[in-house]
Amino acid sequence: MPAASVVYAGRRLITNGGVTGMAKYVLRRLIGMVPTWLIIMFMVVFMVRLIPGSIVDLLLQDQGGGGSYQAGIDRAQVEHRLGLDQPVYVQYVKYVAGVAQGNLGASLWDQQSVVSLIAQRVPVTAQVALVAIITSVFVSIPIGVISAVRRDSPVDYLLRSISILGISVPGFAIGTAIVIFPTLWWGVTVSFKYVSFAEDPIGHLKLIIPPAMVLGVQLSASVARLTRTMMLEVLQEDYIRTARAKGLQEPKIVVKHALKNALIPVVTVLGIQITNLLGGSVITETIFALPGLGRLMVSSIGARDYPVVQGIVVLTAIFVMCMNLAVDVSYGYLDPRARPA
Amino acid sequence: MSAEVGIGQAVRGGGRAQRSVGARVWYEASKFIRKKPLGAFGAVVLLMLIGMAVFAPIITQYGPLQQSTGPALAGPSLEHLAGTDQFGRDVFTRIVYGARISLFISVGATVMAIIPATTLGMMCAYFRGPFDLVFQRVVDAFQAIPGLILLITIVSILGSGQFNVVLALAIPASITGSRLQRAASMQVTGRDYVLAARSLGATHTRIIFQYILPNIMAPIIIVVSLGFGGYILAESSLSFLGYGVPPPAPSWGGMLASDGRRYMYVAPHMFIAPAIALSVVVFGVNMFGDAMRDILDPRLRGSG
Repeated sequence: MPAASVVYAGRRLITNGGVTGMAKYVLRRLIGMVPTWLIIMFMVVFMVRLIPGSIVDLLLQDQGGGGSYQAGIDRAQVEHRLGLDQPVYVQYVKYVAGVAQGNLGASLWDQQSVVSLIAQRVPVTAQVALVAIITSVFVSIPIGVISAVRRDSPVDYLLRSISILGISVPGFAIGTAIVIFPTLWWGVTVSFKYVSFAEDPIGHLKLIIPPAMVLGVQLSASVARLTRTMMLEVLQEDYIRTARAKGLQEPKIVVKHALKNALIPVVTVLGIQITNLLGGSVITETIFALPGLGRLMVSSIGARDYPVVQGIVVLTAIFVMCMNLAVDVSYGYLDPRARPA
Repeated sequence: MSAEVGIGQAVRGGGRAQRSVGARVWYEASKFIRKKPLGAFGAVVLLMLIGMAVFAPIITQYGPLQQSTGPALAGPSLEHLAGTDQFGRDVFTRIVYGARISLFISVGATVMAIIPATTLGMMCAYFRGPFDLVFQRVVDAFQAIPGLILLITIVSILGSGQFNVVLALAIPASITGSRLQRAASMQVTGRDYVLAARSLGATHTRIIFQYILPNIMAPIIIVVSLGFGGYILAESSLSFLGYGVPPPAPSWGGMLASDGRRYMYVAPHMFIAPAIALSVVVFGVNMFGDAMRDILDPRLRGSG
């Protein structure tokens, strides 16, 4: 359970004492990431090469229209040129050495550097993720709070049903329905030709916002359920009873006293959700024809463009691990009870 | 407490029941319906899914691959409750038979994931030390790679096919799923009865399977019931990207993602019917899983 481990990490971190404890903790965690990171690179380097139909086959197919080449000789040449004739573990060691120097290699198809390929795609994915998170907050927190306050009432059942429904319908089905049904029923045609923010800011946002909101609504299901759980827990605390005994009005108790405390794990879980968005974006980007990281990933797997696949997985993994660390660290700051007296 | 355990005992028939077994099952079931109406709805959906899978040939007169059962791409009618597809196959029939695929995938992936996940989790918690340390880094690695990407890569390596999809869903889940079982086992390994068993000279295997395993059944059941719907959805996502159960098999994900989307303008029922089937089943399964969690582990109520 992420929330529980987060609480634990936060408390331990703070009781270790002060800023030096924090720096030590972060350093220890960063060093601890290195083996994981080596395993990830090992996995991805081996796995992409295990996919049947190698890049060499595809490249030869691409070039040799008339069959004018001698398959055996050309194959060896191409393999040698791409460095794929070496044993896989040698390729792995070379790749790790390259990454350690900040060199992620170049696409095997057009020699474009992997870093620049990824850099082109990141803004779209990041914007979608940001809007999705904001949507998710605005949808999930009210649902969670109302559900908790009206516990086991018809309203609670309805809201919980809606939020579970949100994770029960496949994301691509909602996306497709949004794209197609308006055209089908009202004859509205929606253009999905991608324009960058610099070219046409409004057109750009029109493309980003609908898919991001679809993702956000889906995300909100689990956040709403966590909010409900935390609210139920907090509403049983002594300080809530005290607030009621003081004669404070119920809305004030719920918002100022309960929600504030219930939100701490919710905020940290939202942080974790950002990392899930990187994976979930593949489908959204495909439906809405957005040139994001997810689509680059899927097309690179299809094209067996090993360095690009490796580069995206390695960078995503670093991002995910750092995000988890940031979530753990922030917990100590967000929860006053975890701070040293 | 015995009242709280509810359906678990109802299924076993309640050993110490004063009432007859039938009456007790009925009592527990009616209590479950009263206390957990949404969970009861989920249970009904689950039973319907199983019923559809088992009695498919009785429910419908057509075959799932039988072409030209009527005009192609026709809308819903009395003969074709959910219309027909581009080959004149009956969509309702395909959905009914599709229940078999959904069940195969969700049950298959669940079983193939939970057994290694539980074994690995218990081993990590029991042995600790270097094995645990190294294996936890592997779990970290699997968790840091976006799930769908991992699935696509594994399916690409294994090749397409119904069983390979199950395998692809189960492999990452058996690694990452071990973490929860490890956490649950950690709480148990320190207990006195484990210590007592060890001092009596019980073997490691015996301690793990006789003493730890029975005490972590609650989280296992929770993971199983909550994971079920996830696998059905994951298969549909894979279908959407072209890595799911290959046609002509009537997988709901495939019907929805390929033909359903392709013919959406001319035959929207081809999209809507499998979408409803899939959503209702996943919804019901999730509701049932939620209720199970409430009953088995009140601490975790509604989280995650």
